[in-house]
Amino acid sequence: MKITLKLNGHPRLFEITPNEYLLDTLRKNNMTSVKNGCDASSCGACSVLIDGKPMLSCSVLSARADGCEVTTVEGIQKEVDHISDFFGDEGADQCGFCNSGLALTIYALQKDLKNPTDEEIKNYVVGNLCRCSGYQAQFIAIKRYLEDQK
Amino acid sequence: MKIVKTKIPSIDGKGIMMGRPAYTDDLSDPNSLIVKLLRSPYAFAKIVSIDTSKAENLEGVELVLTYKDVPKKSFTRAGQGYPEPSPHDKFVFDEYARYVGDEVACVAAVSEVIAEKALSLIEVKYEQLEAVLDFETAIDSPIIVHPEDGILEMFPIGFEPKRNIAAVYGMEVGKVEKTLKECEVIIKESFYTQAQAHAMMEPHTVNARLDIHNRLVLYSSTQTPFHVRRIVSQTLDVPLSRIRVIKPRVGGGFGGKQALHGEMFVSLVTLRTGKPSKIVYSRKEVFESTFTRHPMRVDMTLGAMKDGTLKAIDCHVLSDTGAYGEHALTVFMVTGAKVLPLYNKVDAVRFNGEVVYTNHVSAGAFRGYGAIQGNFALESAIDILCTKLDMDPIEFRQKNMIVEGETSPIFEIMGEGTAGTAMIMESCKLDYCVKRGIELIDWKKKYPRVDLKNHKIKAVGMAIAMQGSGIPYIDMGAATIKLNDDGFYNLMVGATDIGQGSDTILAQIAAEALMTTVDKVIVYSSDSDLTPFDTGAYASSTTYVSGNAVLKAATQMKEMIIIEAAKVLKVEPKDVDYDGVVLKAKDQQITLSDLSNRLTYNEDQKQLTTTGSYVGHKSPPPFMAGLIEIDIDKETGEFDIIDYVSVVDCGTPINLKLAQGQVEGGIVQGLGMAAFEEVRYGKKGNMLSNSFLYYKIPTTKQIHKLTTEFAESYETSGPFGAKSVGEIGIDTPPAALANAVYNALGVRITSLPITSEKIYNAMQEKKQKESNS
Amino acid sequence: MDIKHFHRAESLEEAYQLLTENPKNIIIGGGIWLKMSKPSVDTLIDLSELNLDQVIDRGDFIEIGAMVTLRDYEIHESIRAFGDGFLSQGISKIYGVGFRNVATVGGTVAGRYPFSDLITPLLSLKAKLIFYPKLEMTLEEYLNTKTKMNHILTHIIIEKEKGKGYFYKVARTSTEFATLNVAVFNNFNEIRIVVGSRPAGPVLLHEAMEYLNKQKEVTDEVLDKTVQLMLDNTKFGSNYQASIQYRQQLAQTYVKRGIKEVLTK
Repeated sequence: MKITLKLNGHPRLFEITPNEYLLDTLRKNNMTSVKNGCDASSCGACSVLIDGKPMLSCSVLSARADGCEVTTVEGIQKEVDHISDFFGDEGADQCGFCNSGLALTIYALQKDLKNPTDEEIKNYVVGNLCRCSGYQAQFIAIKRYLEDQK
Repeated sequence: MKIVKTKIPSIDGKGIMMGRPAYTDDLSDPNSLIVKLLRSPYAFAKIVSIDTSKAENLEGVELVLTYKDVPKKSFTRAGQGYPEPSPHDKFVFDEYARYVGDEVACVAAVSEVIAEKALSLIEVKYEQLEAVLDFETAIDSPIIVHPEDGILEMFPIGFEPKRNIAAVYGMEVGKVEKTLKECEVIIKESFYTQAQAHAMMEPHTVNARLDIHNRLVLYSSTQTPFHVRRIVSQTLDVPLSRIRVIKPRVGGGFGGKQALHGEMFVSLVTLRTGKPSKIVYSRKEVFESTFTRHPMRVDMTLGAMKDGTLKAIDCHVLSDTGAYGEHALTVFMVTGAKVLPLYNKVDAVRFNGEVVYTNHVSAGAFRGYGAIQGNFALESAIDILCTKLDMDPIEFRQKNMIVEGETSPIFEIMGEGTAGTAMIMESCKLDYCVKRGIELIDWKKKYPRVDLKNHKIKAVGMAIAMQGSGIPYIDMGAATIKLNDDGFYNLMVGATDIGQGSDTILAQIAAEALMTTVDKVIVYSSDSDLTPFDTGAYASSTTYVSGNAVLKAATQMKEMIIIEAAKVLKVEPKDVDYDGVVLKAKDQQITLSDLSNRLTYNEDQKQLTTTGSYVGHKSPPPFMAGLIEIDIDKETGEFDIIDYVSVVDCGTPINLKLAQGQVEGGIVQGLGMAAFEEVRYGKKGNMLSNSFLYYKIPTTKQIHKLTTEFAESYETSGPFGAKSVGEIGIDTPPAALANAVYNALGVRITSLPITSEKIYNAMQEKKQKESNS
Repeated sequence: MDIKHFHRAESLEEAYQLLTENPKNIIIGGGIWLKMSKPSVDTLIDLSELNLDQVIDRGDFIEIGAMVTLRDYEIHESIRAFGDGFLSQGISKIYGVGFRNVATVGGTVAGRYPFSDLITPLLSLKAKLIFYPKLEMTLEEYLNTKTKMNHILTHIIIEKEKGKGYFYKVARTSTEFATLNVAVFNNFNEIRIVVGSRPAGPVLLHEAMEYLNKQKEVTDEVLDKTVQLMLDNTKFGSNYQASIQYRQQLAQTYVKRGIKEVLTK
């Protein structure tokens, strides 16, 4: 079946099967930033924005996303460039596998929450698992980014 | 130092976060055949018959392989130096399946859907065998996990497969039994540590293709590209010169990618079909069919005098290496070698034990590599002893722990699989680490406990640890530096960046020595054709071993530049003043940029390159003090980790932020082992915790505060005074937590993970005992 | 899983027609865990076009469409208004926003997930489920229904009540299934108590509540008797997360703490 996604600002037609997930459709079409980290909707590495909201692309049927705006890191390069400055400063980027999904979640957080508390920030990004950093450097980077965006 | 010991951002973090293709699967050939594996549903079984005809006839299937199609040559999947200290006890495919998830057959098809379908069409008749699922009764069990011929040890490691023993070791300094008899206070305890899953975010993946030279090119998410090349060559009988292994960005390893997972299958498929192929492990396969940490039982006996002098340590280890013996001997030896020297002044110390086969998932390398298991046992035992001695645990450690300038006989006796290397602790700031640690956590105000309102108690606990910096006389790393026109450099290193930032810190070391900036040092790493050799990212070797190789190459390059400049300026090299940018002599000068252009295009043209190699002659340990603060509910045993303080001596931290990241990442993984994670098996040996739904690693909400500092320390044998820092962070959390729980509630948990239910049950038992007496 | 067709229904009637004409047709909620179920599907029926994704304040009650995502439910001011936000507190413990933006309230309730941090606190309120065609029942009745239902869950109705709520989830890490969860709601007339993930699903502690609500004063003795009635009448069990004994202990502790909490001004 065919679906139309507005992928990173451009309407695109994709040929998919009904049981295909958005993660696979995106990776097949060279969106290498979207990562496959697990098979249980649990790790967050596959996070994308659908109509501006962070969602697990491994768990959204592509057919479901028909007609939606899908944003990956490839679509918000300037913003992610800026977020990565803070991650670089704090040494929060190690293996990087969780970073693209996390960057999208942070971008959405910044638009979604006004003056979030530490707990609210953590509650927002808790679904983006990281095995390398121990989380603290990431958290500091996120707070500095949010402060910078004010 | 201008570049080293700074906080510069990693050289690759930005590009990766911005989503550019970087990881192994991002770089697979788009026409790759998809390779999938059929795996055993039984913990122990013999294949009676296997019929692949239906699968082979399925449209879109290019190849199906079973044990009938592959020469029966045993090898080890462990990525270690050659000859490996791990037994060669694995076949690519075998008639026996030795754990639930063991490989039985593979298919290569044009799409994932067809590959999955083909798997379901392979008809296997298994003879189910009784399995060995209890490591404490594995030795001399009537059930033999490896009854077959053709398996061997590369050198004596105590390999007795007919007794289910993969390795054995023992050593004694002084006379432990005799010394114990002279001790006034003795404690004895057994500790159990669980199997832990690495849970790195990127699943294992490899892809293979034949290039225009008809060579086999593998892209692999591996920690050991050179070992992969050798092992594939030897096992599949392909000349080493015909294989190229490239390691792209890796999404985490922690030891879980220090072995071959998938390389054999894609190699076979590509060699036999001539087509590119790839395999991407599912998360379930990563859990069930790669490795776990070795679960162990550690029996610890400590003997001391009433004045608090520790006199004897007796440590026995039983380790479960699962179905295959990768890393069996070496992890087990590190349990002693990188833990017991912490208390170096004892009169007698004994370490011995066995590593056994079971039909569990194979255990392998995992950050800490035995030291975390040993540390849990020893540092818990020390606190137990302190209670019996009625002595403050900080004072006891300060009295007995190793100090700068001292040594331990264990260094000489115990290496990693072989004999060790004697060494004096030229840099050891453990005393400072402990002093500073107790300051940072406000130990004196909180030890042992503070009663909070609302049924909670605040408590602190601590542990000290050591690790190593590479394996002396075995781990070799090398670096090549090339000078380009315009005065910038290429740095080619075999060293393997798996996310820990080695590309960045090696560039820093080179830049410091070359007196330039990191943006002028372009790093290319881990390509068996284009970069010089390096054993790989393990044993905390990269900063110390690979770093020293880089330092050598950079130092030589600087000298070569000066020599060339001297020729141009018509002076002696010793008369040249060089600041990294301009070379001056008397009243003349030439910039490096001009010099390099001249050497490339204009006059006396030549390509300047240098190669430095390094093998360690010792393995200077990083040290740390780890202190935990918890708030624990005295009714339910639930606890929150409020703060974890780490004071680390890793010599000079090459990059302050990246070193901190290594420590903190290790702490959180250690906390995972201490409190949250557990590989669980069902009664039939099947892994129940084979998904992130059931295997829970710490999330950002488990971590309230991490306080990390580095001691001022300098190890002259290390590059710019550095020791390694990759593993030390993981070792202290289990004992620190167990000690904090004891300080809070007076109950001692001796098995990991430390759960609220274990604490609750222990409290009930304690209440029972108290009311009985 | 194999899916032959994906169909966006244009009306509830059409959806119901498709659902009932073939046992291999199913309705998809958020579909968050769809890929983990094995059986193959002929037609997957999607309700996204049917305006079931709103939370609407209807005066005396709040109406929640079945397709409202967990995240939208969590942050909606009408939902936060209940019991000082204890419903939202429960939801915020479920994975992360990436998950909660996909999973739906309807999918969660319809699934009767025994560990659900959404269902447990909701059960302590006066919640009713609306099905198409023409079927209504309380949340409690639905949870107790064993027979297969062919109706489509379209709305969840919560009667507005002022009161104080308490929710606690016992879990080692933030994103795992509850070892146990407890909700207590005090509408200043009566106290309702729910225990879930026992490991069996959430239940109202009727016997305990009946006793408790008759007492003039809530003393330690009363609390002891209340939890004893819970133990006598509620089935707890063991699983990989906890033994039955520990669960019972946790239930006693948190039910007591919950009652104390909702009684404080």
